[in-house]
Amino acid sequence: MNHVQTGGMQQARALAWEFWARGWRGQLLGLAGVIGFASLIYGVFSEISDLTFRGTETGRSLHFGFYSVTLFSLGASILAAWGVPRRRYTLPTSSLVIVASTMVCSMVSMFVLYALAATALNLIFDAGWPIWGPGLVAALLIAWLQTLFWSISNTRGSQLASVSSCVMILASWGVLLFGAIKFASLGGPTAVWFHEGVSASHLGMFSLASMGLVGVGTVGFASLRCGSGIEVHRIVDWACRLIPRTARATPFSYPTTAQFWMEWRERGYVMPVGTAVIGAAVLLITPFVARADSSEFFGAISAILFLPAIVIGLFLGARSPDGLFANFNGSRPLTDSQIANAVLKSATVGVFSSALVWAVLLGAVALILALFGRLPSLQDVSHQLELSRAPEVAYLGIRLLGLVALALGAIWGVVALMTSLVLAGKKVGGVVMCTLFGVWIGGGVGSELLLSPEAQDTFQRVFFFSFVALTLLGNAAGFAAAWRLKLISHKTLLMAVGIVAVMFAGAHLAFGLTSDPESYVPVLWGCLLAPSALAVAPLAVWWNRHR
Amino acid sequence: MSETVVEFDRLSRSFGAKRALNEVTLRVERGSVFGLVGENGAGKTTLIRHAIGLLKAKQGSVRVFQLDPVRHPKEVLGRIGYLSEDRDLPDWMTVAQLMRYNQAFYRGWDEAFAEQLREQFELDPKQQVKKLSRGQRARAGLLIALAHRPELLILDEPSSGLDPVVRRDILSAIIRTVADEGRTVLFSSHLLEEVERVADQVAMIHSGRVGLNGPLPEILQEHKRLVLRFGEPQLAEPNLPGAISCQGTGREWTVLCNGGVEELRVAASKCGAEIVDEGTPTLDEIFLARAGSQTDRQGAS
Repeated sequence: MNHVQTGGMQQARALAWEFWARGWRGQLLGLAGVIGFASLIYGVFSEISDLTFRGTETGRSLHFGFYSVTLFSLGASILAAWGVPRRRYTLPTSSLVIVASTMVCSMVSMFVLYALAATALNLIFDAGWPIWGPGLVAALLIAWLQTLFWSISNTRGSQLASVSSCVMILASWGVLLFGAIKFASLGGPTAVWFHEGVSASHLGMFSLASMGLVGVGTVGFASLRCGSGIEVHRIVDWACRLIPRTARATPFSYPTTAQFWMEWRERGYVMPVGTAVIGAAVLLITPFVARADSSEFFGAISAILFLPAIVIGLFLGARSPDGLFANFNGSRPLTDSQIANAVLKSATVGVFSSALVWAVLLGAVALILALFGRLPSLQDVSHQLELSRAPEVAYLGIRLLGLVALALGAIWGVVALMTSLVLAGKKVGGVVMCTLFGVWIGGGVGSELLLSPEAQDTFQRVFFFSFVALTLLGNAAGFAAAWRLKLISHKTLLMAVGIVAVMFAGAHLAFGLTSDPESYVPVLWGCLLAPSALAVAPLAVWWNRHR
Repeated sequence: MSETVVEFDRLSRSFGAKRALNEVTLRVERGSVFGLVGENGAGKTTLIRHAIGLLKAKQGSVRVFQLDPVRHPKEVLGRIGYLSEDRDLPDWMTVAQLMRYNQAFYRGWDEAFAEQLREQFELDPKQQVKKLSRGQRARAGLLIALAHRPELLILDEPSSGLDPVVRRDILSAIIRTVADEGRTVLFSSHLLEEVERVADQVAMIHSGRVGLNGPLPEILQEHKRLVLRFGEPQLAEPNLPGAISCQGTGREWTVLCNGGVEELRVAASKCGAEIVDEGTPTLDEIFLARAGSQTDRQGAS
């Protein structure tokens, strides 16, 4: 009989081959995307304001932006190259070989890809951005992510929870170590690795950290492999058992109530819970905020609510991993508009409850700042919020009320539209979002790059008004189609009118719009687009549910 | 004249280059137990997804209770109990929550019956769906499909994941009870013994086409299995007109035919063979013979 001898090195080579074979396309695409995106954006910046990248504060800030995009983009492609760790459990090889071979591949990939991207941008913009320090940190970060993902649990929820906890702990530790956060410039830990070169001691730290991560990852993977790993859901189950439950729940009054309950319990709650988690992290760093930055800090945390909401909107609309209506969801004895309404209602409750959570957190932040004597003045806050005039206290309330109405309407509009587009399935949603984003960026950025300054002004005016007209026409067509298919009624139209009116009034109160078209057209455009989800959501269900 | 509950009329469907259904015409009558049989990928699930409106008829038409399930999802689905092949249920719900949630959608939800089924299926109401075994998940799916006593019960591969005892004793009993109450069952399966045990009507689907369709007793009676003994060993498959399949080696060959026994008897005697045994084939044998002959025909064309 002919036996094939397989040693550790051979198995490691096979595992490395699996990593590259699965992920090389994604990694190349990620690299091309990062270089292309950064070149486009920074190209526009340097065209507009004649920037100098090398050795300037702005150059450092731009490097940080580029570095974040690189980490997300390349990190995602490496994450995809790992595949499912569970499939490796039955391989006849040690956990050390499995973990170490994949981790080495991931770290090398991350370092090389970052180095290539940074070198390309250095060549294009003469940026002089460092390679070794950020590259090694990026390699360590991906190893850390693998250690967490491969040792904590097999569920995405618990992996995300563990990553978030680690980030929060690291952030708090960083703040304690390096002092107050200054939003105007990047200081503290970034300077050590990023701008002062890599010394022998840094390399020693890198080697030790890598070995530590391989060790921890191997132990974690081995525990999961034999069914005795740290399972976060067990802790959640234990906590759930502590909560007393009523012996018998009452039945739902209507099918639509039951459907809303399901939507909320399955996805909707994520938005307020996510806001609370982010808010908890904000509360942790609040005591360290410098007085000079406290008004900026207020402005920044107000905007934070908006950013995760967009991402969460993508999650609220997803029906299944492949984006299609799964059998259970699709076979509910409800009309398409009833299903769409349940999804929108869940998104609406999510947005409003998040706003409530955020208001409580803002209050807590203000209290902490006041205790430390760092509370910004009303003038500073109103300046940060870009309210029209330096307010007297009597008017500030009304202006804030207008701003809140406008902001809530806008956030709801974006979240509901994202939700609705995803509800139509991955392909439709992706194509629509990429087209809108591509046209907007292409028209705005393309004119900056290609046209003379005199022609730019005319072109951008025409482009903006064409874009406004096209999106509004699209919006109207959506409502007409939904009406024709009997997916919406006159109540929906009334609701749409109400949303537009409240938002426009809010904008007027907050910013004092003038009769100049450049003042009110963009606002009116935003207000008119905000209720588009009321038509898009039922259309999306109609399209995706019966393919 | 009996009422048609589900009607597929010249229904065709393609997914990219693959033709999943090709001019399928079928009628399911009220009170019948209709079995769809076919190999994996034959088009059974695609057909069922058309019946519940999760796929829109691009060519041909689908009517359920005389209604288009895409245009009237609420009216149609409210009268259907459906168990999907993938046992797709919300993982985060407990069994009790799943029952309570489903109760809201169906006017005919029978709480006592639901509780009886839950006990019969040995499901813990506090257990989360994601922690149920594959068999328990199938039973939970069956529970919510049955508890509102639907006019039409659609089961896509109901045996999948069920152990033999549940499959034989419970599933068969349920299907027969539903039919005895005058309600209709449409189910797909590739376990032909099971279909033979419970179905009144059978449609055999192969590569998106209906190969055979009719009442089960008629199908069984129409087909004959003959064992032929030749005078000389046959090196190749004998060419016998009327035979759907011919299997064997040397002198003895088993032939399956659909009617035309006399014609085959004459042809056999011309080849120097005699019929040594004659019997009724099982549905399994008929299916294998027909699926094989269709594949041969497709290969030849």
